[in-house]
Amino acid sequence: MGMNYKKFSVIFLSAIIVYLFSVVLINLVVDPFYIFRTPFFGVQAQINDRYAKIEFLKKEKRKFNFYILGSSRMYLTRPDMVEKYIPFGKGYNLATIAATVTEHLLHVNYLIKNGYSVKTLYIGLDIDFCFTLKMHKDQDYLLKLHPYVANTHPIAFYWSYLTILPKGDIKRKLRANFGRKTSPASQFGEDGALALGSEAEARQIFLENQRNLKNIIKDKMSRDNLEVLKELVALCRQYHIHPIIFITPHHRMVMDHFLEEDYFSFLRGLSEITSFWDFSGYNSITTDSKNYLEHSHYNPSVSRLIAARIFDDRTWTVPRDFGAWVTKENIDPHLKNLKMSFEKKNRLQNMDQRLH
Amino acid sequence: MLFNSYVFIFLFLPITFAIYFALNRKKLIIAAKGWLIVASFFFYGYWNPIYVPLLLGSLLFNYAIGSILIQRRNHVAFSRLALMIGIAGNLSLLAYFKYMDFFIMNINALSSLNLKLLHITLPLGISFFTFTQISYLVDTARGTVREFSLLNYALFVTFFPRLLVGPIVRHQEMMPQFNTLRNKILNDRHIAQGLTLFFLGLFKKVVIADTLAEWANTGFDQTQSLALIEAWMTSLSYTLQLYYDFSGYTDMALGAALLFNIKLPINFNSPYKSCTIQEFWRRWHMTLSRFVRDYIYIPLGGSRVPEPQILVNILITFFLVGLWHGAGWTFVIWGLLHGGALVVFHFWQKTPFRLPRLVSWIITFNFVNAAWIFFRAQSFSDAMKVLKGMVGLTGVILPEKFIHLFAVLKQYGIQFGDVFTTMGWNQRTFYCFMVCFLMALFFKNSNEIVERVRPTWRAAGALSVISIYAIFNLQKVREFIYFNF
Repeated sequence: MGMNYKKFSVIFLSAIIVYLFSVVLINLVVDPFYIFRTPFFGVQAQINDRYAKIEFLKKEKRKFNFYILGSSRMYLTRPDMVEKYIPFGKGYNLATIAATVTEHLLHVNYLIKNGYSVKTLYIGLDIDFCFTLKMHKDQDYLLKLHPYVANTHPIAFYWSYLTILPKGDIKRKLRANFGRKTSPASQFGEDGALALGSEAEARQIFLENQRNLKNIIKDKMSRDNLEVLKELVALCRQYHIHPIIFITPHHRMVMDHFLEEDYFSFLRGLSEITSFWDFSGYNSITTDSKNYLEHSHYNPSVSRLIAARIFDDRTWTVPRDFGAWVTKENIDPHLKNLKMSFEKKNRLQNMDQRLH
Repeated sequence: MLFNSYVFIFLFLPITFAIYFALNRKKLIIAAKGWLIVASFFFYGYWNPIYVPLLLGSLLFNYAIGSILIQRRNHVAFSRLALMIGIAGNLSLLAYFKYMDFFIMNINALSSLNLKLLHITLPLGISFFTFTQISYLVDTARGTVREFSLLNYALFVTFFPRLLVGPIVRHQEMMPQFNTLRNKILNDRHIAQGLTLFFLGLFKKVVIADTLAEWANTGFDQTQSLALIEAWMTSLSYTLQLYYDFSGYTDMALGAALLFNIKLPINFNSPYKSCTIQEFWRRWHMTLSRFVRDYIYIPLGGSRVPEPQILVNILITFFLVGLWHGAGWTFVIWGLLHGGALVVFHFWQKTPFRLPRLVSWIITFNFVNAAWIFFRAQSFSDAMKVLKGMVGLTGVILPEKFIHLFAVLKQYGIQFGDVFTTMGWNQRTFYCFMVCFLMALFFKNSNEIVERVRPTWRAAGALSVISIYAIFNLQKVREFIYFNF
């Protein structure tokens, strides 16, 4: 059936405009990442923690003076586990899902520039993320930085959430609200840490979101990330901030996926930038699955042990092989120890294979 | 500003369009042209306003030289000098912003000097607006351009649909269109065709090219571990990405210009259907081919010089084409490979042998595909790794299901298993890839489609679906490859 060119253009443009309005409306009503805080669906299936935490901090500018930075592995590190060791310390857990070093730098920059009090940073570094991530893609809507942190225009930020159609995320939220089984959203307490009823609940949430470990975690980004870390350390020096940096205790299954050379070279690179605590490697904590919710996230009790080791709290019994203070002076003996633990692990693995 | 962004599609383009025709309707023709120029500068500066003065300076410099060339047409020596100064000025600008670090790196490599790199950010579109203006100066010196209104010249250089990535146009093919009164009123047919072309281009870019980009990037990021089939898929993904990306951009440029009743020259005519390398260059980036033919190859003597000189001219021309695309030796190698292929073709034409079309196509396509590897790879060694993979030197893995048929091959080191481990493909990805591949070879191109499309419900419905799908993918804003050149 024919029509004239004018009608053709009008119909076509109308279809696009109707589509666009529908998408905006759906996003406003469903609000799958809990950005607009619209009241139509009360149960959140997932929350953009980067956005939520900065929105919270905006209202509590003067309350905190030390910040926990890291990935979701640091979610369960409650600030009170650490602040007791820091005189007059009042902490906020600014850990976010799959946080990158660049994001730590951007967050610290944001805090400094906006007049927050920043005295201490408690930074947990994940080797796997340092190897593979510098910044998340712009289309990872769950992981988008707050516009004030990313220095993007807020209108562009909100507009981006209005004009996507994340079908899976919308379905997930609808399911959460209409009773089908789904994991509840991460809920953050006033201190920014994950507020969960029990360890079992935490285990369930993390297990549902567990990433598969398939291939070797190749180092593609660590050089870039070390450069960013250098910048972060310099920034801390400039603003008299005390950075406490440590490598998180990766479960042995994660450790198995690192190439030894990459791993050692990263540690050496880091030692040249700053001294740090290293909780990684094959030690009595990382080789015991009881200390983990699943192969990626460790229990809150491990967070306590980390703090106890760092602040030399003798009231806790920390295994002797868990945590080492690494400086550029002692990096060689440290790597030698790690190499020995790798060799031991390889021997055991070979034996295991032969037995089976 | 990117064509594939909400701000362009839903704000900039409609506003610019509405005000332009509103001014024309009130017979404010100069104001309408002025508006287009202002809008074009805004378009250019939206991403980074720092280079707006550069564009303005370049424009005024070339306008001044052009005016001298027109006014002093009778003073041959003076005109020639002015032309030389004009071309040198343009090339210096390009040399400084595009090639300075490349020069320094080469000087450092050849000497014991350790000069510091300048890390100059490449101003968007500099290669295109510089070439456009060189062509203007040469045409003016040749006497084919006669008018020298600053307003018209500014519009010719900055007209936003073609400012950043071309097509490279000539003054005499664009300005008469702006001066035609008929083009100052809304043309329903042009609007319908312009919208169709624009959204077809958007679909090609955000749906097809950006998907192919992910595949190509995955492969080129892991050049050391690509087995035979993966190496082929990597190179082919990039070959297709480049086509869909650049031709998609050109479609959008042509479509946006057509809304203003301006017909820009087409830039792509299904290049991967070419059966000879010469045909490829007649179908690929056609306005660049025209530029190098008219302003480099022919002035060097073209085909009217002795045979050895022709071959040297071809190589010089393609050396420059390679260098124009990027400040790196891999681009030069790519250019010289094409130049070499044209030389071989030149000799082949003199022989009595002719190949069947299919064989010619296979040779041409595979040559173009292999050459693009140098264009894309970060280094020569990366390119060689992909090429080695493509000839099976880094291992051959065949699909597991063929193990019974070809079990004998195992003794020659051929493995059976997951073919796309490195690239993370599955069967669906492979089918999608094949669709993109076949579309480039057997479908009509966008310009042919737009010429044939009639205003029907079916066409409006199909275009709406394509456009909505493209808009749905707009959030994955990626730059166009040719923004880097």
